[in-house]
Amino acid sequence: MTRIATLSETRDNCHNCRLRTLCLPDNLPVEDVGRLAGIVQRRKPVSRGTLLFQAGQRFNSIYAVRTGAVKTTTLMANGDEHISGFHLPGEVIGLDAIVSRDHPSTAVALETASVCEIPYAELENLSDRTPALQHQLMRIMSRELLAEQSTNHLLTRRSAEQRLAVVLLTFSERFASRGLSAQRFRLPMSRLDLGNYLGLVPETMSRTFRRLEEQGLVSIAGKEVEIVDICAMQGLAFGAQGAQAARA
Amino acid sequence: MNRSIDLALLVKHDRPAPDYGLFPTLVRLPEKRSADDYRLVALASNEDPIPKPLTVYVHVPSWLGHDSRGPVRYLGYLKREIALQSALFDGDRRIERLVLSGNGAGRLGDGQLAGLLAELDVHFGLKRSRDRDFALRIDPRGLSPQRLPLLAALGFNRLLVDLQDLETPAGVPGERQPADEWPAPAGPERSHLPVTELALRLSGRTAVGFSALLERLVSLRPERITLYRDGLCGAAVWPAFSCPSAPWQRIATPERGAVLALLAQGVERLVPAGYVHLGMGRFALASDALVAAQRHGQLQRCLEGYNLRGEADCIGLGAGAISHLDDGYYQNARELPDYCARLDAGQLAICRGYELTADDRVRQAVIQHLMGGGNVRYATVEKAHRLVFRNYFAPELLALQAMASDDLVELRRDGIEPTQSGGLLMERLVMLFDGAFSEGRPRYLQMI
Repeated sequence: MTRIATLSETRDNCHNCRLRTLCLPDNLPVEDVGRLAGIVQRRKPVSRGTLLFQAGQRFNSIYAVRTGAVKTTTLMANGDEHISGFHLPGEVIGLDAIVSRDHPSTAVALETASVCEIPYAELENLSDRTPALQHQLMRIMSRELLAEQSTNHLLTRRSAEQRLAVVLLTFSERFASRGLSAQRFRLPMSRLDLGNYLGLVPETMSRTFRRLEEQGLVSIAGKEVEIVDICAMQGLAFGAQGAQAARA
Repeated sequence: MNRSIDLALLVKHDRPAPDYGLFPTLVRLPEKRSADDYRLVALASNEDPIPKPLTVYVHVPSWLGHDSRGPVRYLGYLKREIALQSALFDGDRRIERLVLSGNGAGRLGDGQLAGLLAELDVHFGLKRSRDRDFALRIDPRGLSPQRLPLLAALGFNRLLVDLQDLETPAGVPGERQPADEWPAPAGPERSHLPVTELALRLSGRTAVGFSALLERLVSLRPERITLYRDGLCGAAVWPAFSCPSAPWQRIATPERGAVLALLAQGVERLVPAGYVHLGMGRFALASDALVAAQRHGQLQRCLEGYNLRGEADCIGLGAGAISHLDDGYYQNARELPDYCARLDAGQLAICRGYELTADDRVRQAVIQHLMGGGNVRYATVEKAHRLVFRNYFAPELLALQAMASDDLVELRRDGIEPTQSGGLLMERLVMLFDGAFSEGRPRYLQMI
């Protein structure tokens, strides 16, 4: 008899999670994955606009994005919201709170999203006994740190077109790491949010997209982005030498 | 007489059909979607990396009250609606296309038009460059040549003139020469004036009278000419909201034959005179942008005839006006009291709407290809919608056989192309692809 596996069945466990190679269970022995799965709480999907945690809220858990997308924002001194990052499935958020008692940033679902909540105290406890887990946690932190650093570096003192090219290439890479198309993807965030992240007003944001499109680098239909000429995009984003390095 | 168009064949295949300025046709818009849905879709439309250009249709109905206060009051409501609607769209999205139509639009004075444009500019912002398309329906009665430059100065670059307005009282077959009264600006200053679209009703005319009218039209040489079949009030520029649910069915068959003959007569006179028949009785001079667009498959059927292809978010303002965002259509309350009451309550005037299904989208694409490009290639539809055309539209292709065997349409290996005669029955042909009219699938019609 043919049996049809339900969706929850395929994803309810760290063992058979599609994202395990990106997330905490990567490189863990089977029994450790089981222990990790024991402390992970799978939350029900939340709708767009739901807050996962808020700046100033007591830090209890870190979160792994399972589906959808999440943005993290911080409040600037003048009261404006600044978007510090967009997080896609397989990525871990809330790590910036480990240093203090409270969350320094707010995390909001950009679309219907589901996350795994990992209580930090229990995770710490578990990783004391599981060196592989501790190692993987370090690796993820290092990965986030590196991503942050390199985007910061690439986004300062550059033209709007270069900044946009950098961000689109980063998205392309992140989609590809999940086994999705690197050429064609759907932007989960609004024009306003992306503009905020890049420090561009909406009008400039659209003009910049249009310029990339006119140059034949990308093709835009609604929120769907197709990177038509990835080499030229790398050339624009990182300069000619950088492009070679990125290809290598 | 040597005719390239076989009238008997056309009459044989002619059936009453909607004009497909809008698909799905108006009668199919049920009250499924509300103003709240519209608000969400409108807000979401700002989120695209490159939001679609904005088109605004302002509808001014013919009946606004007995005295001059009627239009003033209506403009007041329009201003409220403009404020409510513009709040939903990001500030950098300017109006690139504006159509001010409806039978009452022609009665607005220059001051009122200027006021309305200023209001739209404050709230939405009007595009400044010359490639914007701002059309105004005007009343030819008492229109002086001096007014044309004034309208151009206000920012309008296209004028829609229904010559029917000259032939009062309504219902009397017009043997007068209404075109005589159209002020034809001659000479070099014409290039600074708005493009003119003259519309003429066909039904109720005699061949002799129409022939003289055609000569007059040819000598006037407006940029665009519309010959519309039915006796509908504003059919040339806007579907008649006040008419019963299926207005296109009201005309008796014998009269439809006569109207088809007049349309054929029009094609035979206007084409040698340098006009191109775009379809559906719409003609444009060969140098017109629409003609070039049709050649490149960039023409799009729309409510007011044809325009250049390009996706836009359409906002309808005024009683009965239709908005078109994403894959949904939304209509404002049609009756003035209802329209005003909604705005008085501080709400959008939208009262009903419809969200296209996947099937609707396929059919819409086929209809657009046929009406805009004059043919449909299977491969184009198959690629965009991931289907096998011959399978998906097997019943429709079978139904087309009758017209194909009379050489009205060519069924080729790779697509469908109506012949020149068949083009005069485009709405009939397209109706086969509507889905609502095919046997056994009468969808939505019962919801009126």
